[in-house]
This record gives sequence, structure tokens and C-alpha cells, in this order.
Amino acid sequence: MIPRWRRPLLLLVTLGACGPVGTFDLFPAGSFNLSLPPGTCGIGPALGVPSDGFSYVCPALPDGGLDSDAASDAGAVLPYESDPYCALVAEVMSNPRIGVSEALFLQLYGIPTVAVGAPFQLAYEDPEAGAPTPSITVAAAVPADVQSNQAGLSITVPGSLGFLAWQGADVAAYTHILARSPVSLGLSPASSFVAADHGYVGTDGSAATPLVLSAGSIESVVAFAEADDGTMLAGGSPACTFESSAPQLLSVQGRGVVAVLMALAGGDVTLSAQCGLLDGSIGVQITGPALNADLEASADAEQAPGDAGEAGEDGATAPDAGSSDASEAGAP
Amino acid sequence: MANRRVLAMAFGGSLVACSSSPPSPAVLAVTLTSPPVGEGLTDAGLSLPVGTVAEIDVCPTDDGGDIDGSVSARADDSTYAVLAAMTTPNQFVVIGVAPGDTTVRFFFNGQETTSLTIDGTPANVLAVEVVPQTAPR
Repeated sequence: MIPRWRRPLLLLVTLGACGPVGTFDLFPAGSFNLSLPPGTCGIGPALGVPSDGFSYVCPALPDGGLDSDAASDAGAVLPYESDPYCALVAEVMSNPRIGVSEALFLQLYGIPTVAVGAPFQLAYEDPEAGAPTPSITVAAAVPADVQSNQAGLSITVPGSLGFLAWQGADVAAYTHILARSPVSLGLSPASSFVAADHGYVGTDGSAATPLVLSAGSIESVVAFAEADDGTMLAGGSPACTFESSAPQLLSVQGRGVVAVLMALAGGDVTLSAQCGLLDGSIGVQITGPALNADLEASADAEQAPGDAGEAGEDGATAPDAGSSDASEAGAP
Repeated sequence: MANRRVLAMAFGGSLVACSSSPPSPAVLAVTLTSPPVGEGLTDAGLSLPVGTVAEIDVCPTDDGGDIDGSVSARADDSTYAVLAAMTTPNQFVVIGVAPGDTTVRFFFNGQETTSLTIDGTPANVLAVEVVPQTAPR
């Protein structure tokens, strides 16, 4: 049975307002660190002094989660996601090295900066009540600056916009969300959130290129709208199309804003993406045997004693077929 | 709420408690919370980017001591800014609605008082300036 994608659950705890955040070393033997650049609050700069109880709510997954037992060591394969912020955070929270306690500290990320025009959902829950309060409604400070549809709210103009939780004629709490104009498309591996030293590293922009993968590995890359300084912008995105410049080296499957990459053989590849009007690309360097080397190995296997006369000589054998042939060649 | 995932929370806020004492305050002590962007607090009062919210905490005081009483506040021109009470006592929010200037007046037990200290500075009213957004575009 292939395990289902496990939906992350985030418990609630008050940790204080976002702001300059250093490196936390909260668990024994440095088992968990949360590192954010000083002054960072959120994936992309959020705003200080938020009021408690507001939550950025990710949309339901249209596929209910991806069937995948893909190697978690190689970066978990993500389900279909339409919001890059949700995709990246879900990756962090689903990482097998991350427990519920550690996930609590994701709250320090706060409410992210969103793209102008991108839908998102905002909810308010009275921290003391511990459950949504039906009598409270959330509304923008200037309703004319917001559009509402089935996907949620979208801010129509750049800048900071206040949101208030109204309880009758009174205000229970408020917060601000910064909306910025998307100008380009960034691509970042989801696993960039989890550093090699078992720590979190926040990302405010595209991954450094090229993205280095090992042949045979699987990686998830998230496409996201970014502002002119590279800040990742949250919010729903049109479905993206992804293209590998060398499908024989790097296969790609699009799942909303997520591209599931499978490195097949060594070489340099360009991964291109288009999401709505935005497009971008990232270089991918795959280490390991080159395709030709695979084919040569395949040919060598086929030329094993007893099969030498059947071996192809033009090197055109597909890698899978070559492997299969090699196994048969080694069989008694 | 099935299938919804809560991934980010925001925290903060404050409470102001005014101690019980005799009525009839000498002044209303107004404490402003800087809005998230823009100039924030100025000598003239509060500079508030349009679309944003700032918080006002008001304590009736008598020579430095806090006293209880009913406090309310109102903007002269709601075209530019709107006042709303918070569910917590003696706290208000100012919502910048459109660029322009207005004045916020304060009332104690229903009577307007012009004896204010705004962040420690004596004043009669709170001047509010709603300015255009200057956030990153």
C-alpha cells in the first residue's frame, strides 16, 4: 500500500510577534534549529506587530494528496498545490525529520506577503476560545481594495492592507497583509527549507543556480511569483506548465505550482516554467553517469559472453531497456 | 472547515488595564501604536497609510494614577479615518480609509475632554493624517 500524503497539522501556541529572529536551538544536541534572516517575518517580509488569532489558510488539495512513496531522503514529492507558500510550508512540515513540536515554530513565519490579485484565505480564531467564533467576521480595512470569489480574497492594489476581525461593532483583533506586484517567476526546490545540518533555512527567493541533483534522485521544485527584489509571493496561482530541455536527462511532472523532477542521467538541463503570464527557468546540473555512459554500460552488458552477438551497436537502446537487458544477461 | 490547513499564525496585541480609583480624570492618557508602514507617530499626532490600522490605548488618569470610566473616541470626518472600539477595554483602532486629515476627539463618561496626553505630550485632540501607501510595489 502506497502511503498517502500526510496532511500537516499545526498546533496553536502564542510565541510573540514576528520580528528579528535569530537562530533557535531549542532541542537537545542541536536537533532542531530555526534560522531566519534578522528582520524576517514570514516567507518574504511580513509586517510587524500583528494581532493574534489570524491564520493564513491553505486551500484544500484538489487531488486529496499525492500517492507517493518517493524517497523522502531525496525530498518528498509534493501533492498538487495551487499556492506556492502552502507547497513550501507543507514540505517543511511533512519532512520526516520534523516533529509536531518543531512545526510549532513555523508560526514564526507569520502571514506571508501575497501577490496582488492572487487569492488567499484568511481566518480568525479567538486564541482564548480555541475554536472559530461564528459571530466574528473578517473584513478588509478598505473593502474596495479587495475582491472576493470562491478561491478567497485577493488584494487588488499593492501595499499594506489591514484586516479586522469584527465582533459586532467592535474589533476583536487586526492584522496587516502586504501585497506586492509579481514581476517574475521564481523556482526553488522545496527541500531548500531543510538544510543539510537538519536546520530550517527560510528562503526569500529563487534557489541559487544551478540546482544540483544526483542521477536517480527525485526532487520537488515550486514555482512562485516573486516581487522585483525576489521576494516570494503567496497566493493562489494559475496551474503551471513545466518543461525540461532534455527529457531524457530530467523528467518533469507538473502538479499545480509544483514540478516533480526525476533526474535520469548526468548532464546539464534547463527547467522552464510558465504560470499564467509569468515565466522563469532554472538550471539543473545532474551529477552521475551521463546518458551515453549508461548506454555504453548497457551495451557492455549486452555484449556479455553468450549475448555478444545480440548486442546493439548503435547505442540507441533506451536506458530502461538497457537495464532490463543487463539483468537478463546476468541471469543464469 | 474540512481539508483546510492552517499554516501560519500571527501573534501580538496588548492589553491595557486601568486601575480602579476615583472618577473625574484630569487627563486622558493616549498611547499610540505605530502603524506597520509609513511615518507612524509624528509630533502632530498619527500618520497613517491608507488601508492600514493603528491602535490607540486610552487610560483616564488623575495626576499619574489610573482611574476607571467609560472612554470613547470619534473621528470628525469619517471620509478619511474611522474609529472603532476594540473588544478589550479602553482600546480603539483607527482605520485609514482615504488620504486626508481629520481630528479624533475623546470622550470620558460621555463628555468630550480636551485634556489629553498623547504619548506623554499635552494635547487637546489627536490629529490623524492618512497618507498614500508607500509600501514596496
